[in-house]
Amino acid sequence: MFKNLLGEALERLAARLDRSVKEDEIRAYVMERYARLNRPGAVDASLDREITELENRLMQLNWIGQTANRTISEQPQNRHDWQGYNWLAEGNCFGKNGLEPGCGQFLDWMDENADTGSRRETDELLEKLMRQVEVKREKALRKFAREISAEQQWMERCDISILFSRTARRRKDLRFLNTALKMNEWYLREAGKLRTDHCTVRFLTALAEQEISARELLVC
Amino acid sequence: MLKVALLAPIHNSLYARLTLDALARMEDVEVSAIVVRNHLNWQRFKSEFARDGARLIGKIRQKYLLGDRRFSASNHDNLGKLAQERQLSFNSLKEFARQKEIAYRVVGDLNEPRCEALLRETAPDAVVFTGGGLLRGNILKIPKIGVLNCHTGILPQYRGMDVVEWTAAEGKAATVGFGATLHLMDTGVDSGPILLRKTINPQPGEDFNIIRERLEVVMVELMLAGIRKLRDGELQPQPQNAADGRQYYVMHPRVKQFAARMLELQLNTHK
Repeated sequence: MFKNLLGEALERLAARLDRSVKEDEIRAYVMERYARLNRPGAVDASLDREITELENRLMQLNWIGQTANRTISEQPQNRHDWQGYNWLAEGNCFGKNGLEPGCGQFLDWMDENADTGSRRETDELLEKLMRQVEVKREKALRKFAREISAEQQWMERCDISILFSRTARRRKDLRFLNTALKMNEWYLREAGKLRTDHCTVRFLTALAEQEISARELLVC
Repeated sequence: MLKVALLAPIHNSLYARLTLDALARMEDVEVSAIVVRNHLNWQRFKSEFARDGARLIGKIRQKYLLGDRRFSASNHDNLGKLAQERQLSFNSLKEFARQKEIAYRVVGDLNEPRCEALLRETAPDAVVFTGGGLLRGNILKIPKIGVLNCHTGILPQYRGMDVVEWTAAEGKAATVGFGATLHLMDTGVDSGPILLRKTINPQPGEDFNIIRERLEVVMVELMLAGIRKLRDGELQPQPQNAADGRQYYVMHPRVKQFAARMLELQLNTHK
């Protein structure tokens, strides 16, 4: 009798603790935040490009209609051209001291542009990064190779999430989407503390990238 | 005579009890020690809760509250049925150790010095691992043959967590299949040399829980077959090539829902 009651109580507790976020909740969150950013004069003009990239993804998801003077880009442009960076050769994308700022965007660029010569190194770095996030969970990606601001740290984490979502699509590898889904859930719990619009835009982009991948990969 | 020690995650693990019961009856095999992990460990609870979340509560309910009763409503192969067939007569490893006068120790963590000391003292040829976390080199190096673990998935393809679900999610039910792999443990995750493998043939309507319960029976079979063949010198461990497989992690609920749909689809297609 006691065991049955305890069992029922544990079941109810498990249901309450189930923290996974559903697709419609993500959509509601993104659209509510986007509406705030999209008011005329609400954000600094320096964010226009990033907001446009976010809108491209929202259009891809059919969460917003076609916006004047905006076009859907299937492959959003990576924000930097990393040609000439020798991080991969030096193996210092992330190491003992922590994550090298820019690592997420760099690996995204590498994975998109890697020739066969660097494919193996890119694969190894992506696996290593995924393992680090999966093993350390919320505590992952908190140490950086050099000192950067809290805002920059947030952006770096979002970039890794974006990297995983896009890698999942490029390689049709659900494991990367799986990791991105978990990361974005952890970060959603912290998102209330976001102090700048730039952080918000980057996080909304990470969520939109996740949903684009989910829509493409989680279909039978 | 092959001397074996058994490591278990909890004193009443049915998998460990069934394996131990059969090992004790096996000719030319001697069980020299049993080490059980103490289940009351706050640090471990925190760490596992961070990894498994709400799922851990379900596991606790199954292991601590339901125990062997968790199988009662099932018709398919499972450990509960196997225990009935074999007329398993003891409820805890401690009880069995006392009856048979086998060295028994409860430890906070299977890597700790007290576990290492008992294994060194009893010098087993092989250690049968029935769960309880990752083992470090200090433990893995003790037995002459190695530490045997049965992984609930097909190696080398599927290393790591939730691999039954991952096999379905990746549409590999018909090609790789669902099964278990007996291997020697090394410091990696399911990366040690392979000893034996066995697949099952799930039927339409079976879900992940049923497949897992069926695989638990296969794990007992493989573990016993492995010990028997090692005793008779009939097994040659086959090293794995890491590039032949991938490592998988705990599956997010959204991916799991997709995996369940994929499983249904594949089982209906290949019936």
